[in-house]
Amino acid sequence: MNNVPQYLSPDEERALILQMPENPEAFRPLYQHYFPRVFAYTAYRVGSRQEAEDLTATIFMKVIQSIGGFEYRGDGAFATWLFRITHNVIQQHYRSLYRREVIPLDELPEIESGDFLPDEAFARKERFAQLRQALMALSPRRQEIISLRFFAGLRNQEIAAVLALDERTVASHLSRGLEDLKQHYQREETAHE
Amino acid sequence: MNENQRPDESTLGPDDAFVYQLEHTRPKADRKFQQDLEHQLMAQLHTLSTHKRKEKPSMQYSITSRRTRFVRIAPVTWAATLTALMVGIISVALVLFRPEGSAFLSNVPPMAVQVENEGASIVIATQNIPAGTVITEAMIGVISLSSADLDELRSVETPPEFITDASLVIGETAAFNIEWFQPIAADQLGEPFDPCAQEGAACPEIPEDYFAINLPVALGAIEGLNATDRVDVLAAVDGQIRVVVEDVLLADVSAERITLAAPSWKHSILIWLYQSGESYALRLHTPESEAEVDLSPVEFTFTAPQELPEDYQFDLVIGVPASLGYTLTNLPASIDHIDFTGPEGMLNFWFEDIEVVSIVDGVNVTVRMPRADAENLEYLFNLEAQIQFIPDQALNSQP
Repeated sequence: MNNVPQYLSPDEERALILQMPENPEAFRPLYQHYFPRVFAYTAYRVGSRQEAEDLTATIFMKVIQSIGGFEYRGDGAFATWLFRITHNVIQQHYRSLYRREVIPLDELPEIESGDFLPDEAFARKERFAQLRQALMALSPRRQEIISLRFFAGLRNQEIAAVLALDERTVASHLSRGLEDLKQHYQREETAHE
Repeated sequence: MNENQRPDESTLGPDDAFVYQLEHTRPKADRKFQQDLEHQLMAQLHTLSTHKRKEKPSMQYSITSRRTRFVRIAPVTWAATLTALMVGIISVALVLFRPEGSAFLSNVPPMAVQVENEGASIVIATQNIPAGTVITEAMIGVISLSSADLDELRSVETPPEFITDASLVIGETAAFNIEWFQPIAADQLGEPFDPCAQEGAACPEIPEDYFAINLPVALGAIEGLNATDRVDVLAAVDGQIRVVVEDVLLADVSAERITLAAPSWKHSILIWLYQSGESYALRLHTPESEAEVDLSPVEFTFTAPQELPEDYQFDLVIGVPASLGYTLTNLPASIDHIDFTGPEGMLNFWFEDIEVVSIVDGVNVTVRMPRADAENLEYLFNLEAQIQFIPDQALNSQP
């Protein structure tokens, strides 16, 4: 198995979900498709690789414990349900009394290699730390929405369902959040030049 | 995804460089961790399937009614799971203390809100409970907290007295939205507050998806018009009388004010009008001025203001200042079905589900979309509206 996310079309996803009551193996491709997104979103929200792994395990354990009660209601329903669980687990984590504000670089998660050279691993982690710092400067709501959009890969409608918001509210936060993020990022880039 | 098609970051403008960073700085998990977790999950699923559980697991679980099912996973992960569960229930974000003798507690029997100094059991929500929901046993649970944990719960903000007896919650109605794992207090129960049920309240009937605004009555501004009429709103803009917004609902008329109701983007223009202080006039809207919405697919080609990757998939956000909202009265087709956001005086229209046909030389973009949307998009481009490309992450992640 490699780390390239397995892409599932909406029809394939629907077929797997409907097979699951009779065939537990149908969950495996769903897991392989959603694991990278759940991990990426979680890692951006909590920052630490160890915490992201722990929370990701918690999330998927809750998923399989609850999967019998899931009702398929159309495209995007599973993603919405999955990320609602993810969102709630992370919210619980944030209520922890033992949050750290600064995460050492070696505790940050690895970044997908893409077309980067191996010796850029350190630079990639630094970039992650910078982007995450910029993200943390936003309001909690905008952090959630941008993370769900960019790292969990959800559409606005799905984000609205996860967070129990109006879709227009999601779109507004996304638009303003990106603007704020860009300005923060560009200020930081200028300061380091 | 073909890595050779990824753009050279140096060719991108400053805004795109940032979005490129955001898209391509995706954390990845350790491969062994991912595989190990997969094995554990599949083993658990097969075990569940083999034992043919009598009761289906559900997202709605009650801590007091079900025995926790232990799963053999890595010790650090198990500890984190327990920790996440326990610390979550000590959440204090949404509760407030009330001082002793507060009127809010007057309807609650003292026994129900006593908390012993040695710690206590408190009732929490085990799922999100929307306001107006009658609370059932399946929606709540009872947890035990030490006195230290209770003190911690009360120390962050001013919390209420928590309910300790679940039977006092079952059958009650949630007066407000109650979140998962939120402790339930007495002042969260009861009928949801309805301002229009108050005596003398003025609550005109507003259609679903419409938003209302009250405007002061200007002399002669509403002559001959009545509540429930569809009207156009005129005002002086740049020294000329213009139709600022068309086809809104005159929901209510009184001696001092009128209530207009409209879809969100028109409502934003009305807000701008109110804030501008300009006088206005209303006229009856004539149905002949409405344009039909043709949703048959067409291809539309435009020049992007910035270079885009060849296989880029995106949503378009087109922004127009609310002060120029009057220009939208000449839109070729209705835009009411387009998602809209209105941050700080901007009218942002979200064109989603765009099918990108081709991107040539980075800026010549051909998309497929409904004819009405394409015509409106062309009109907005000619207004030199602000254009934002929001990447469609799900499609851009396809191999």
